[in-house]
Amino acid sequence: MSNVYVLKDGKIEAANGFISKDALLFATPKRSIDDFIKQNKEQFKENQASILKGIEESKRR
Amino acid sequence: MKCKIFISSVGQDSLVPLRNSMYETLTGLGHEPIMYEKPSFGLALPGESSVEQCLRLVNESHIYLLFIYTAAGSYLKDANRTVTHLEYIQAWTSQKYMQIFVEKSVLQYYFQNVRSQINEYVASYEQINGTLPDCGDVFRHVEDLQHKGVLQPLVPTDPYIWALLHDIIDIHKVMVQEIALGVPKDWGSMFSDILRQGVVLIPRREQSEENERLASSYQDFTDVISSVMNKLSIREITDQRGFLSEIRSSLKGGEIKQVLGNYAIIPQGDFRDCSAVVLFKRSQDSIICEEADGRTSISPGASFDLSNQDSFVAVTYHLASPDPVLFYKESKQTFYLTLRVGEYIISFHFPAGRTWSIQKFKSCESFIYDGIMRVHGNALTIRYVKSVLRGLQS
Repeated sequence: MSNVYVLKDGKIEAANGFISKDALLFATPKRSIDDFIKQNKEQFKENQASILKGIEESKRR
Repeated sequence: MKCKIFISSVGQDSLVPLRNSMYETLTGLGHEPIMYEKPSFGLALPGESSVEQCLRLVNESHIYLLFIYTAAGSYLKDANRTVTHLEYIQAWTSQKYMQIFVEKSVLQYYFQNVRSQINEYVASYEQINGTLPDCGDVFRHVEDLQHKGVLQPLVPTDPYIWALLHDIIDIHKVMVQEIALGVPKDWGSMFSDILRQGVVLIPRREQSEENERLASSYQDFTDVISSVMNKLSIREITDQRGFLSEIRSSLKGGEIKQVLGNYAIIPQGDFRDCSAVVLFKRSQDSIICEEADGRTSISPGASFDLSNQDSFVAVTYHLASPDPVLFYKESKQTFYLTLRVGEYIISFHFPAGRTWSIQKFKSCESFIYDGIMRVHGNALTIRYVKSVLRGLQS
């Protein structure tokens, strides 16, 4: 189901059919800000572990 | 310690001279090539199947080389993939440095005749099922096309090759090189270039380690501030214009990407650095602009009727979402991220790139939101603003 709506003549409607370029469309969030921050942090830790492991491996003789 | 290089391909007669030439060249250069027919492959460990041995050796290698021609090799029903494909996937997931070579006529036929057929199938499958087809589905589709004579490569080619190339080129976006069998290739130059790329990084190892340490400390600091902000109540912003200006300059633009499945990333368009931030506050039946910074026609004192459903400010207020709402106006080519915190509303304006339209917004809205939040420290900044506004409530 589409999450996108249009403001039309004082009403909020599903964004179907013809929509003027001047119309304001909006979508409500599917994820919270905290979700993004948590995901970025997890990605950072994963990347960091991979980079440090690679550096250690490259030092082996 | 020698560089271990895994040479992967189907055991196809036409590839034997190439494989042997590669093996000899690599041995001559002082590396440790690992290839199925050679002693370096060793024996399987106790309890290990031959496929498991192959995957273990890929994992233990430093470089992965793959040669693709017309034969697909042994197909494992329970994995829905061939052994060679599993080796490639092992190299991909283990982030091995890889070089992939595809015979010239096979690669050209893929791009000229097969790729569009597969892309149509994938799009149609996704529309019907809401997910991407897996490799087995793609294989059965191209196998069907080949049986029906839709695909007729000049050199008889196992249809699985097309599914394999789709996975490598279009899902994982890995660069492949064309190769002509029987034409000698300068492997020495290729490996010299790989050495050059690695050697440039070696003197920077210490700096990389130090950077990781610093990044960790910044991450820890961010965690502390986030935790502490929940225990604070900021009662006043002494310089509202300055505050909004700092926030605006920290919110960066970037690229919006559509993520398909686990790997495929399709760029959709870009958005630019935040061009304006506007702060509003409810006053009885109106919402008044308290301050604005950047390129906007809204000025302090501007008033919006709370019952006016044509106003993004009023709509944001009534939606009362705990997280930002995304607005778009094609005539202004701007994305607006708006957030209500109690009696305050704040809007962040991001100019949209020229390729955006109403239709594109409708199909990509969740990726736009993701894209804005993922860039730079945008999500952290917006969460910080939310904490500040929470404290201002009278």
